[in-house]
Amino acid sequence: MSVTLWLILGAVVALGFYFAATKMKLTWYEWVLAVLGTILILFAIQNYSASQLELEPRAAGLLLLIFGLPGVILAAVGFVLPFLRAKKAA
Amino acid sequence: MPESLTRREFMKELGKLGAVASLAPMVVAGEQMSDKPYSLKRPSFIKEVDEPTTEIRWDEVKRIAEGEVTARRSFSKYLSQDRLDKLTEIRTANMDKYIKEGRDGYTLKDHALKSGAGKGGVSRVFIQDPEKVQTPEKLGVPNWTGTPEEATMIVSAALRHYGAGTVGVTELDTNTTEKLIYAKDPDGKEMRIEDADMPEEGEDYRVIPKKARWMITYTVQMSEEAMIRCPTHLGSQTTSLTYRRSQNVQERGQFFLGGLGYMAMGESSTNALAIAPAFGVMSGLGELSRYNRLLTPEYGSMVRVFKILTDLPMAPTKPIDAGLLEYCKNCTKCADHCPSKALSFEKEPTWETVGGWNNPGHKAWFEDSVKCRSYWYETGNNCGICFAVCPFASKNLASFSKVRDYMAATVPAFDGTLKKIDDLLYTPYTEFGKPQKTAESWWHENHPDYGIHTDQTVRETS
Ligand code: SF4
Ligand code: SF4
Repeated sequence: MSVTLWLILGAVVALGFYFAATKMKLTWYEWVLAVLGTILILFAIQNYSASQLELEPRAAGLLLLIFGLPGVILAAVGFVLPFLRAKKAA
Repeated sequence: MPESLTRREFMKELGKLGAVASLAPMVVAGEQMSDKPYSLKRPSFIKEVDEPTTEIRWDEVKRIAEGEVTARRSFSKYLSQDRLDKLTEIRTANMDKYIKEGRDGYTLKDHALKSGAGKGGVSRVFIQDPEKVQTPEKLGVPNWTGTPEEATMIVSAALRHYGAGTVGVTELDTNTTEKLIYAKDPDGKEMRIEDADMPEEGEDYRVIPKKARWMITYTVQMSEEAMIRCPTHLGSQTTSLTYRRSQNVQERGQFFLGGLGYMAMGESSTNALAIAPAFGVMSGLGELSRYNRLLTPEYGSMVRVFKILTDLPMAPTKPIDAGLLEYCKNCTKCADHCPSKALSFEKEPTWETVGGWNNPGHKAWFEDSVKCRSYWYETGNNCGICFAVCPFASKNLASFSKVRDYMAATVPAFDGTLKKIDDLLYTPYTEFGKPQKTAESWWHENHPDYGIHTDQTVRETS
């Protein structure tokens, strides 16, 4: 993956966390889940794109699944729980 | 004084004679003493160690003739003429059949690729023609001098620039590493280590001056993407290409060392001079693996190993522990996939050798070279499946490889799991004894120069 794409991804992640920090009220464990999930998603993306470059498409898909899926679930729980809470409170 | 001395032994002896002070007028590189080993910049989990991970009983190690250590040149010694004739017959029939039926990896274009890959390297020589070497003397300047660390640094830089991957240095010790120099070269010439001024070559002998104490060992990278098409012509040609490239590295290295004013004894033919994997282990280029060859942290099994001996005093590089030998204990992938069942399935390496072609005195997973070599007749090439299936034979672009390397070096308990993940990711459907990918697909892919990823290597020095 090119440096430009990583920069864009970095900016998206930074914006997401900025939004979460300023507009949403995350508990400490929601922060832990969100950060862990994001790390796993980034790890999955790196492994996916690098494995494609390595001419290993099967490994690329599997690595995306193995790390990406738990990453998405963790990040979703971390970001969705406070959202639901806020909605309930409103 | 002992018959042959290391730099340290030499200093000790001189010290006893109270002669150290008199060294001053003969200050050349080696006399600017430093026992500081030279380090390749590697991740911190690759530990430099005093003793290699392979256990060695040096008193049992003897200098041996090259023709005895692999079944390569002594193959016929271990087989009956009938069996040999039969194998030759099988090879001829198979090669004829495969090319005519256009078998994947044996088509005309694969054949042509292999034939080209085996060309291009300059001939190997033990010593370069002194007339041709541009020595400092001819240029009217003194020999290059510097600290041993600087010497290792510049030799590494030069060899890497000429095409080597990693470079290590072993300072020979009479009772240990010197025994890894062959007693006889592949051409049968006796390798004499003598108190001579200059190296020399005669009809049936080669002279290595005792003062040449520094064995430079270097790797040359193979193409993983080609190798995983083993055992086919397309897969095996990366081996030929790597050997040819190493011939050029050797010649350039010899001229470089000669240009600095020092001697440079190279391999007079393939695998000559000294035991390559052994020096690879002793100089920390890697560890000894289950397939009984060098496994490196940078390129895994995707290397061949070569040597040059010099009298330029150099800082040695230390053996390493990157958890590779330990990993092999829980991974039998190369042995599982070996079609001839030539590799050991024992959990631990052993002192017991399998046959006369093995070199005793160290603990290893000794291979049955006769079984291996016999199989080569079936494939018409040097197989190489064991190299190709190794989990460390990866391109290391995916960060999972780095996690694997870290875990292998620090948490051996996970080795078995890591191997299972590797099976799942890279070889889930590979039939034992078959290529991992079709040879045809190789022609459609876009590969880097020589098919190698040079960014896998170590660049900086510390
Ligand atoms: S080269 Fe082939 S036959 Fe020989 S040990 Fe390796 S896998 Fe087995
Ligand atoms: S395949 Fe496994 S056992 Fe064989 S050399 Fe590689 S890591 Fe060691």
